[in-house]
Amino acid sequence: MGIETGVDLDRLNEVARGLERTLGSRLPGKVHAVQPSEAGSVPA
Amino acid sequence: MSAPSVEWVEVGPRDGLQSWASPLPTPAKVGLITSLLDCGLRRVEATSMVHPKWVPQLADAEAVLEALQDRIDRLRVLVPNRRGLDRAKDAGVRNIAVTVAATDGYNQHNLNRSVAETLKDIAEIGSLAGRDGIAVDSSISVAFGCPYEGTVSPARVEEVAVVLADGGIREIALADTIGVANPAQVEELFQAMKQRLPSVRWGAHFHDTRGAAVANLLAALETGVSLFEGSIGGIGGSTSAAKTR
Repeated sequence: MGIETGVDLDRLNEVARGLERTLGSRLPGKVHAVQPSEAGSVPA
Repeated sequence: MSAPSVEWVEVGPRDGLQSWASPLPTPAKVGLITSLLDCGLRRVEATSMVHPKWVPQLADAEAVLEALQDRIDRLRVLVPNRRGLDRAKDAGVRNIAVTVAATDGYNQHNLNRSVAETLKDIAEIGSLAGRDGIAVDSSISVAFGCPYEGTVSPARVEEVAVVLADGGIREIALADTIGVANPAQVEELFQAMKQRLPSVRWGAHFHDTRGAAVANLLAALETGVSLFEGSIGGIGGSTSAAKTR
């Protein structure tokens, strides 16, 4: 959308995945659940 | 011409973890907050000075802040009362958050006080914090709907916001605490508030309970809101509202 947040979003998603590992539980957010290799890909 | 920008305040370490049943060790919390700051977030709400009896997960507030003294200027701490302010000051905190509900029903469940009583407390906290140069931000919970009183009118939110602004608070977040807001309502409320109190910096805090958080965020953006609160991985929800996130 071209809106500057100043936040490294890939890194933020990695932090969320790390928190899931620490807590031993899936978190309800959706974006971090998409692995980097999947982001932007289109299923065949 | 520069790109439009927003500020994202990360509240997960406080708002997210407060409802997490299993205690997270202090070093893990410190690591989480450090990682969030390293992502470029300018402010992180690190913990709360609530009594541990009410929120055991945050009983280590002072220890968390002690470990983060070198980054204390980028941390915000929720302060529920005068005692909490004293604890925050002792911990070297420079930015606190206070909260009040738009309805007496929710405020009684969340803070065990009426809205008027909490606004009086906030006025005292704001005055004392101001003397020490501590910035005070506020949120108005259940601004879009209340689990105890149902629909909340913009006029009611405005009444509360006017008292906060008159007390010198310059940053107010409107919270959809139970995730019932819709984009049209978001647009209507923020437009009304910006018109009534143009000097306030308005923020938005949405929950995705019904999957409408992104749509609501876009509606807020369109009204010119540039301050948003979020929780890492979508963790959290009110301890006083049934099943929110």
